[in-house]
Amino acid sequence: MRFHNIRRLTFAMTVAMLTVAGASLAAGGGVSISPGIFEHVASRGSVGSIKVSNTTSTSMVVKVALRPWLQELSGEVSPNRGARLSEVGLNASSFTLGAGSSRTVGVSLTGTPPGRSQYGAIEVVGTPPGHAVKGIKFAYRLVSSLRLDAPTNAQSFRAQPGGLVEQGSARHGTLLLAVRNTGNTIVPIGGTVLIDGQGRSLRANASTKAIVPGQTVNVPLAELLGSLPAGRYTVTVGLSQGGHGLGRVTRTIALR
Amino acid sequence: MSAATRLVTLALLVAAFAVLSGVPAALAEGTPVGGTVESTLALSLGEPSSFARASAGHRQSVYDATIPVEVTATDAPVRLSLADGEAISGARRGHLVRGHLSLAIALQAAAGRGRFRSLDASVDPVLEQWGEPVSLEGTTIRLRQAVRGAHQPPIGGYHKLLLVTVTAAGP
Repeated sequence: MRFHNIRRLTFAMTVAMLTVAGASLAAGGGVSISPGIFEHVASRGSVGSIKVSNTTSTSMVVKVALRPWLQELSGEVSPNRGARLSEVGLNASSFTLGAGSSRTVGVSLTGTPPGRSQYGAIEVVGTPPGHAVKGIKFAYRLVSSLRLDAPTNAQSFRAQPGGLVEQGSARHGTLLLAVRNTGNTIVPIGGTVLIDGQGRSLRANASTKAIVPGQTVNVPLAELLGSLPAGRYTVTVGLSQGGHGLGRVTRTIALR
Repeated sequence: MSAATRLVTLALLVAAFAVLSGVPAALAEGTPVGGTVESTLALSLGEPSSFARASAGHRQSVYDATIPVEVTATDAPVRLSLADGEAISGARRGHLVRGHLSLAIALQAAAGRGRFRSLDASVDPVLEQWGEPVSLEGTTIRLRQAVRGAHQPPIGGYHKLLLVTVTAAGP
């Protein structure tokens, strides 16, 4: 008898919890894409597909585009909506997706990309029907990463260091090094740092940054935190990318 | 629902299932649960509120609106941003428009307790960022439109298509 009461109580709790869980927005549906990261060796022909699903209760106009990345000096990326990725194609770029339905879109490499690799964004925009509600209409936009890597024997790990940048308040901010990825992979670039001068030295590990081939990013070398007095310093950076040494670079900087 | 609440709910559901199905308690407690999930990116949008006047004055009026969103992403970092779906550059980017007219002040957006960011910037503003995979992570995007001047135009006739954007895992 007691066991039955426990069962009843458990069931009631389960129903209550499911009711709470049902309050989730996802219960009303949405748009999803799979995979979230599309990675494949850059070989000519079909390189796979993405699945776009509309789990809402209305049909939707879906547009799929392949875009190059715009990369900020901070390393942040966003799809360049004014451009299309070269050498990569889709077998469908615009279609209507019915309520509760899915569609697979094939991705293929139509030519050999410069540098043997291609990196960019897969942009999926789903626009529900109807007009703007009091001025604003919302649409779904999902951006996944397209990584078409060069074959292992064609991968190149190279970088071109630029100048030092001091960011933030004087001697309390971050020391950064501008680095251009001149290789053909997206493997993050980092390294070790030695700051020497004024009778002091500071060793640090640089943060790693994924830099799109051909782009320049300011790689954070060290947090200064006021630990170094004002004066002239020599900064030696040993850059590396996925275990591959990219060489040593020396710069001087005056900290005020 | 917060991540902690979901975790507790999941644990209670598992315990409830164990009781209901007659699974021995020791087995239910001692068996690790795991698996591989497909790499996915998903977005759900809730019912948006229409612009309502938050403050009014002779020099400036402010209108606010909200939309709840929910994000699932298996690949981190995950970023939530908002983009103009009509203009990718130029003076109309990020501004409510009506025909050839556009409001002088750009639309602003924020998520959760974040600060408002203007939508006319050259890069879509990141409103929220998660450093690890998220499942049904909910937040609310807040929109703000300020109108200035002695003759403030009613914003009812102005419109804009906004793209609620989820980006996974950077480049």
